[in-house]
Amino acid sequence: METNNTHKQFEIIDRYLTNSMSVKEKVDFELKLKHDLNLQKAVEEHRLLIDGIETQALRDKLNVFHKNTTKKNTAKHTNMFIKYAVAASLILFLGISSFLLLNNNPNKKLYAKYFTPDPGLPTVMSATKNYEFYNAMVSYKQGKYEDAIEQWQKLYINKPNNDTLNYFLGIAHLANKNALLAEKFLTTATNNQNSVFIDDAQFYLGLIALKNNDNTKAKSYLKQSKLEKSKEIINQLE
Amino acid sequence: MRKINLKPQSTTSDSIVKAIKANNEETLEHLYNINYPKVELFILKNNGTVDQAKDTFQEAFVAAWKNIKSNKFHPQSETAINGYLYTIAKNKWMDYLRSNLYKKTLSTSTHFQENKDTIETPNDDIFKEQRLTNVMQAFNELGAACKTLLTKFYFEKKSMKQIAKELQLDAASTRNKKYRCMQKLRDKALKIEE
Repeated sequence: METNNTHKQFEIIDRYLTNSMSVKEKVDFELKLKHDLNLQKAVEEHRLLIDGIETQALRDKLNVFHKNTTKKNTAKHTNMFIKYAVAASLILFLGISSFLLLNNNPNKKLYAKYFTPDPGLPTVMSATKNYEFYNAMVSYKQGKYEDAIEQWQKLYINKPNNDTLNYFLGIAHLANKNALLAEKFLTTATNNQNSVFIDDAQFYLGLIALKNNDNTKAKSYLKQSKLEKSKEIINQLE
Repeated sequence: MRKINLKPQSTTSDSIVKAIKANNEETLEHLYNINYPKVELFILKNNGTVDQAKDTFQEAFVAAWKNIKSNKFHPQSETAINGYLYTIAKNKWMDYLRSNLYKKTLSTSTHFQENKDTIETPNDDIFKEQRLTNVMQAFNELGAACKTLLTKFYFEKKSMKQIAKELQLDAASTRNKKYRCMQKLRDKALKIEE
């Protein structure tokens, strides 16, 4: 089979399929192709070989790309580990020192007793419509408050009055120890009287006031919140 | 140099399509890096593992690449490509979750009613797909020298002159080598078919 003739035909088909023909050559070839069934078959077979080579070569490349991305991720993980280690020792230090401090301050004690970040919204399968929002929610739930804030902040620019965004931005800031910003967002969240977050937002605003030793303000917020734990705190303040 | 099969236009979307068609490594890797994390997150959130995320994403990547190459999909921007990739990967994963393969492992799952008519591919396509898989397998079994040469020419789209230089061969023997490698590939693929 391996005559000069087949090699010659191979080169012609190869040139055709890799777009290496001149316009005239191509027109002539296609004219011939139209009437030559054997040639059609040979072209199809050749095309299949090229497709197979390209697809397999791409798959090999994708595996290389993948290794590169996971390499970067493991580097990230070790970085993260150091960050967590630092964070953990900081928390330990803060814990001990605040324990010592809190003993003299009943308000801070109450704050520490009652403050836990909102558990967040369930992130479900159909959430792709609001992909960015729920992606941030995942970070929030993992305790990556800064990540969550950064992502929600982007959405916030377009929806500065959205109660859900304001509420969760507020809680994330509070959990991230930024009471000032938390107060601002939570106040905006309470502007919407029909919001499902209103009782919770009032509760957290009460806690912030408590933290700032402003008992009058704290009581007024907590009175507006219908949550059981809000009432509990009021009782303890009186 | 070989010509690229495209009308001369100079928009940015055109250049990314051009780069994909030319299998430009940087472009492909960039698309991979940008899109993989989103797909992984989606599959992990929906009962999948990291390995399944990788396989599903790579399948989607190959499918998107094929459709761009064959002009079945004309993206207007990189964003369009990203959305397209994500959608294909998501659909592939949803198909998998609905498939019998997955249901067998989950006895308590609710059963979806599949519309077989819309999903089934014509026999001709299945046959073609099978032959393509055979060629891919045959290519994998080829010796390293042939694999390198064929990859350089058909995937990286380098000129024969360039390849001859890289392999330190003269043009004529490079050409002969390529021909012989293609014959080998064809024979191997046919053997798998039998």
